[in-house]
Amino acid sequence: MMFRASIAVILGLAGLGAPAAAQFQTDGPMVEASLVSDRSAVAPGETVHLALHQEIRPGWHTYWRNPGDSGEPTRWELSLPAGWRAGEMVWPAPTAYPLGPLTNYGYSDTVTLPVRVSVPDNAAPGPVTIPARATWLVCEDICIPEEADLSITLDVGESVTDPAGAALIDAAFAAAPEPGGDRLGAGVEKTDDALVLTLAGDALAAGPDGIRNLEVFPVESGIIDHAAPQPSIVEAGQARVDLKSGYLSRSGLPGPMTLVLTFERRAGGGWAREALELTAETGARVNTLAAPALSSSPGAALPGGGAIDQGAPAAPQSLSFLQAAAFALIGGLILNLMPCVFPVLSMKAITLVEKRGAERGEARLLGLIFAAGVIGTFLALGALLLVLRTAGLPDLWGVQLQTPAVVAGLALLMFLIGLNFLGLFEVGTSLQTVGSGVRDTGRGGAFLTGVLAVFVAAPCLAPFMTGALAFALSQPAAASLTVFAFLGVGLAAPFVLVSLAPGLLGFLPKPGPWMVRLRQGLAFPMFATAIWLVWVLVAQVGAIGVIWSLVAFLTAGFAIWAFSLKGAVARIAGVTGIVLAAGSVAAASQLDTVETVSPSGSAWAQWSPEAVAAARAEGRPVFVDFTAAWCVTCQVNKLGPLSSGPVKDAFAAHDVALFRADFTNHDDAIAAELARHGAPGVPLYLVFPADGGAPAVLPPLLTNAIVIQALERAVEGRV
Amino acid sequence: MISRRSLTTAAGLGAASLLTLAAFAAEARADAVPGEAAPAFTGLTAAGETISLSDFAGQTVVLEWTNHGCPYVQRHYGGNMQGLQADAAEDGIVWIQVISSAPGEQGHVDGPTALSLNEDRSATVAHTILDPEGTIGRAYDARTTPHMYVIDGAGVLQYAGGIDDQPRPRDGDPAPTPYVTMALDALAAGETPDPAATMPYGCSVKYG
Repeated sequence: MMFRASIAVILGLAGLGAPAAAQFQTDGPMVEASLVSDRSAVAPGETVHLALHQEIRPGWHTYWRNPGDSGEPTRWELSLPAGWRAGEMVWPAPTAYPLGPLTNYGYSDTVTLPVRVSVPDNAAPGPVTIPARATWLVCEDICIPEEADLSITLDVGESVTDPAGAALIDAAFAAAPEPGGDRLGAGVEKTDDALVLTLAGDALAAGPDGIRNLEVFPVESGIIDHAAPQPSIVEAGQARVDLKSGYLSRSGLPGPMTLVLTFERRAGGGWAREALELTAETGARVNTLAAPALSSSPGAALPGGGAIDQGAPAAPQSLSFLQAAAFALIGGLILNLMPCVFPVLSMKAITLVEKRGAERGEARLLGLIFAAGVIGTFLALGALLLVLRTAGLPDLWGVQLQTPAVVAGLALLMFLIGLNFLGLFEVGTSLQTVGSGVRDTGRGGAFLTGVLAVFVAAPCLAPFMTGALAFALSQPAAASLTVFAFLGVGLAAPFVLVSLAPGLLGFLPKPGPWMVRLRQGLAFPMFATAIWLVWVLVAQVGAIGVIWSLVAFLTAGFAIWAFSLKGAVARIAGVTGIVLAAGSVAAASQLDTVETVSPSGSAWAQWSPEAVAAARAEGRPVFVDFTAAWCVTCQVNKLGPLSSGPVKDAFAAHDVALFRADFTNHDDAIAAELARHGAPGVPLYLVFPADGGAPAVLPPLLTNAIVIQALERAVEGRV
Repeated sequence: MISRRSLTTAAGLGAASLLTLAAFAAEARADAVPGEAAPAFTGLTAAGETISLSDFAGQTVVLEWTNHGCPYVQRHYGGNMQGLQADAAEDGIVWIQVISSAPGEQGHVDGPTALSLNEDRSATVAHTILDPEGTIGRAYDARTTPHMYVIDGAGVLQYAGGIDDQPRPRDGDPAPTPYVTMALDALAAGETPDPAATMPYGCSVKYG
């Protein structure tokens, strides 16, 4: 390839010469480099390992053979005496460092880069000083090229082990990828802008219970988009990783792809990282696994590479299919009680109550139609997510509420339903809104009630259904859709039960004037929901969004009033009102999204991967709150446990660095981080231990005890 | 029975779904791909002008991502970059520097500083665009300083990648392959640059 200079690091074998350089150790500002050996004395004919050892300042990193989007690989070369031979340099498996939209591959803290050196049979006894020259780039936010002239003196004679050097070099070999061709076959196939990497072989025999966190590091830069998430799926003896094409593979792969695959294997009570070097054949698939979701966590952002991370929570995809279906069912049932669904529940109640007088058979039918609406919508949304997944777009649940137009539109809709409940207008003439459709007690109305129930429930889904959704999205289409269908079954079940079981129906009160009052009373949950949605809009587009939203309310109200009058002028005025209301919603949605800034003096800093890495480099435990204004569970946690005295005291006592990532508006970096940790949406709570291990993922609904115990584990390094 | 009203409702929900989809689509990362139209941009220059790519229709445009604090940039401003810029100016090529460093990051400068930096280095560029939001940088997927782009008179991106193939030349290395010069020569000769895409090297662009 033409990019040899920056990719292949070949140790030059400088020729003869008896260098008499004095022992010199560099003390570069960011990297302290030294030359180490696993033998302090060597015998003629023996093989010895020499290595460049770098002690890297915390927060900085040096580069792997493929540095990723920027940077430069470390290079070093020995000037060996005549007859001595050096092999190729060994690169320990790297870590991925995200830097905003870019990703680099390299090493932090320490790295040892060994090379095999063979001593000639005729080497003359006595001390031999071997000089070496090393150059590297070391980067944090900024980059500094550094270099060093180093040397090491070995005695030729009786072989003597150097325990310190041998330990470093052994560790480097242990962290280096093994040739994996005989343990794992690999194929890579280009689809639209994706590269589908399929793997099959004994190395993955342990399956999803024993293997996790697959990461792919191509040896050549530009083959993949280094910064793109790498969704993966593991089954017994096989796996699939979906990569995004880089600029070199946009119009096809230039040839077989050499890569280092790393993963974690369950070992004893923890997980140990393994690395294999593979060559994937182009245009080949070695298994038939379906596309994975953005749910597997590459764990790439963890400084230190996490050789072992003990007791981290099981990945969501380790849920079995039946468990996932059961969770989906329970989740659907719980949804009936959630504030997002409550307004819809109210509407369902009205429909049901009004049907009380009608024939039982009709009520039964309506119940089933409602269930069909709910389940059908879940299936449609599941299908939509599958399409998005195939298209490689971020498929995070609940994000529809990140679109200001949807929020503004829903706020207006809730306002109108409220007015309708209050009796300001009746449905059936010309005003056609979702609310009116829902008020329809006919069969079509029942179906649409089901549809709307799902739409309004979406933001509440993520917190309760994280596991099931992650599972669903990582499965083949049929299994995935089954889970979605079960969510629907759960949501529709109570209503269907009431409509099917005459006994239960008998518990419902008899029709009467109270119904009107009930309906009017239910207007207020609608208005409350509208207020909540407007508040979300404030967080998204600022105060101007509120004004446009209120203008939409005003003009929609005006339209309703105008339509209640007779005559052409009133009609025209009504239509004008509708147009203005729609325009106001559109205007609100056209506003630029605003940055959510933590109030000054807040204990919570704005999240960024760099900020987290910096805090971890200081040895502090880190707590990250992934939140959004439209996420009710997030707000409950924020105002509850996360603001409570005991938790605040624990934060202070353990010197916890607090970060808040606000997903109210879409943010690529946050989306990538959520995907990395297998979360389909917010909330997500991460606790990074002080000792640099993998983070603990807390449950979506927090309690004081959960947070405090997690912090204590983080400080003790037992996470 | 599904009434007309219900259909309207369904259409409304469909529209909401489409909006969501559109929002997703807008988030997809724009890439600059050689052989395709270069992403349009409008930016504020160090001299205070507002310029757009379309202003230079009919002319070859070179985009150079830069950060004066980056050691790789400093190496090329030892004379190589100024030479390329002067040759380009002579050939009627519009050379535009882009600074995508975010405020507080290395390389972030205001207009007067950007101009005086160029004066001190004897750099002769047509324009220096200040892109502290990183909008243009992200549109072009600019990853390093320097990261170079060559756009032809028809607005088609013809080259993207490194300025040459040697991040850190050492004594005894062969002469660098001057990719940007090769691309400009190819365009002048009416040919398509080969290679049209190479690996850019250097410091990462300091996006905020």
